[in-house]
Amino acid sequence: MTEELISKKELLDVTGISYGQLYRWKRKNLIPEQWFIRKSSFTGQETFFPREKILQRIDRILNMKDDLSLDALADMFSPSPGESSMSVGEILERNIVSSVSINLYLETMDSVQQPILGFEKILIIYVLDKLLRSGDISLDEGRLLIRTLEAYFPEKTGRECGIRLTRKMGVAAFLLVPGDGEVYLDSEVKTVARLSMPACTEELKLRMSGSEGS
Amino acid sequence: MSEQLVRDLKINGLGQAAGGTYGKVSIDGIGTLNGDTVCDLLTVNGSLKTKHSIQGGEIRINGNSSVGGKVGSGRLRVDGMLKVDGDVRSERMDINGMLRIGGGAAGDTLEIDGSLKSSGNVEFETVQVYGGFQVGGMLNAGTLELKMAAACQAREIGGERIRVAAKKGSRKLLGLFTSSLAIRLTADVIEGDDIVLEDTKADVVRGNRVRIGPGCEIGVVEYRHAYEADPKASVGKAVQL
Repeated sequence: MTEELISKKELLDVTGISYGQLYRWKRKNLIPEQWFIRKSSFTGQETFFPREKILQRIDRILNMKDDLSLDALADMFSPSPGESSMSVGEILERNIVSSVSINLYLETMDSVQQPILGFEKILIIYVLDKLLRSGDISLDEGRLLIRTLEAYFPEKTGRECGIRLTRKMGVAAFLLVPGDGEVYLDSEVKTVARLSMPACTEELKLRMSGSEGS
Repeated sequence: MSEQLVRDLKINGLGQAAGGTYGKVSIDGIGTLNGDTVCDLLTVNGSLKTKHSIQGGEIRINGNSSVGGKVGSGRLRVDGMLKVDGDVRSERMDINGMLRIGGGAAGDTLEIDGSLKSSGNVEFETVQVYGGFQVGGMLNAGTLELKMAAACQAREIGGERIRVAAKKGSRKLLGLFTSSLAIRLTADVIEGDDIVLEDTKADVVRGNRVRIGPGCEIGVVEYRHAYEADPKASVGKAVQL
């Protein structure tokens, strides 16, 4: 399944933005360099973008640029972790993740109680929560996910990483894919769930900054 | 000793120093830095050589220097020649002379009186050039004001306001003999909101308002609102979108 692309010309038509805006946002790192996909076509070189990602990103920028400065937006979209940390109580109170997920996470940790969680930890819980809520994984698989992420994210995988949950003959396996590229598996393997860490990071930052109620 | 947190570094004549954190670093003569260096102010009169990176509040290069790593600064001024193998990031960059970059360059304001050569992308809010450049990647500028005094070349140019003109009184004769020395801008694609070009050769120009001036050779112009072409320009075709 290859990503659907949108040409630059079509993108400007659909969103109504100008070249100048597009390039300004690129300079401000609101649109990552990797999304600019250059291909040669019969009219010379054309630039394409991953359709879904860029449309969502531009929609967000247009909606939020009146409230936030471009630099603040760039922080929001960058895959680097947010600054903030929160206590368990606060996370639950603000309804960032469900209590089931947070309890599952705390249960896997050795330490008795960790009242304050850093962004990295909250991100893992958020990913767990997303998958549990969608019904794609069981609690047991959730534990497996936590262990996998704790072991490899982000030191080994980098931040631009994708998560796949696959099943073959009823056996679940998590794959962490650096760069979120394509993975080709034998035909008996079913990809049950697919998430992208940068997208989750962005969503979580939005939730934590409180501009998107749940 | 322990009271003083950062020390200054001075090299007069010929000298070497380890990298590290310094207040002011001044090199008069020939200096080598054997490690990554962080400082408030770096002044080089003569020559600096390092295989490592430099991070400085302000960096002034008079003479000839080379940096093997990256350069980051609030303000970078080159009077002479600087060669950087990595990326350069500086809020303000003034090049009076020559800067060669193996990576890309980014910041807020770039002013070139001389020449810039970069393998990667160049991204600044404001770019003013009185001279020439060669950009291997994309030149992305909010405002690009280009007065060419030498050959200019970029793979792609994008921005809001793009103005390209040949500097008055520049030597046109040379271009008659060797086309590579001709004073003109060459690019595959130029895209912006408001574009005015002179002496430019490009395959595609796309913009809201496009004016093609004398000496241009453009394959296709795609415009939204307004389009104008000088009779002394050659345009393959112009399409309103």
